[in-house]
Amino acid sequence: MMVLVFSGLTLGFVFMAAFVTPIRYAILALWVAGLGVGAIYLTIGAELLAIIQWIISTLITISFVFFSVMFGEYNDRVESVQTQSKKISGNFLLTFLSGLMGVGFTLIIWQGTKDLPMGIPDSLPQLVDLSMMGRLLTQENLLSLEVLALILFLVLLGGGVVARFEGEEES
Amino acid sequence: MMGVAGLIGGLGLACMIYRKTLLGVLMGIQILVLGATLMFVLAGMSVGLPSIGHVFGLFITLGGMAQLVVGYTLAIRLFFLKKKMTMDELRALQQ
Repeated sequence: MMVLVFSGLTLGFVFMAAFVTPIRYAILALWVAGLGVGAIYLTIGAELLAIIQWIISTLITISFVFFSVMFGEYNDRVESVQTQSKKISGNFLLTFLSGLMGVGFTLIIWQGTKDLPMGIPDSLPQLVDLSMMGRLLTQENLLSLEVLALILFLVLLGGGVVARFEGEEES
Repeated sequence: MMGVAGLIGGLGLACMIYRKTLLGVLMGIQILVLGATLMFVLAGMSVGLPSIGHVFGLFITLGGMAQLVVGYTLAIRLFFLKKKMTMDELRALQQ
């Protein structure tokens, strides 16, 4: 029952994050949607993922607020690319087309997962605890973990290099 | 529940198409990653291997963080060059 409540709330806030125009409301909705997904994880017995999801959603929300303030989008009521004359019809068409693409994507996912059992078993055959996750990560998926760590490190270094300021320094 | 995860991913794709700015597209990608993570966790649970689904979900979430950092990097670069954040201006990075 709680899973359905959290799913409905999450879907509502994801819809809001996808289509609401003021970006500050969209960022807030994205944060609540992330918390909702974490709540779903908590309900189905994935406590570790729930905690990670909450932490990462909060960090992402803070970074989106910082960057939208930096780029001057935080208080924009209408995204700057849209002109006033074409705003209403363009918005409707774009919303319709993007919604159609979203429904198509959802149908493709549904088609791909229809062979899986759809329900979540009442009693999970295998409980997941931290020690099991640790063993899985460090013994069976060690190479994947190392590659992921290397990617994150390189992304940090590359981000610093690409985003460096190349203008003339003030004396 | 699988439908919920697919719908979240679909809304993320719709957000990527609907938004015109780079930050909006990054938000759409984050929603897509949310849906993908939920899909893998639920798939792992439904076939009786929840820990495998959790590991996949963890990797997808952290990979999503990496792409977010790359997106922010492109945004900063674009803002240096054009003082704008629209997706159409991304071609300026070719120069």
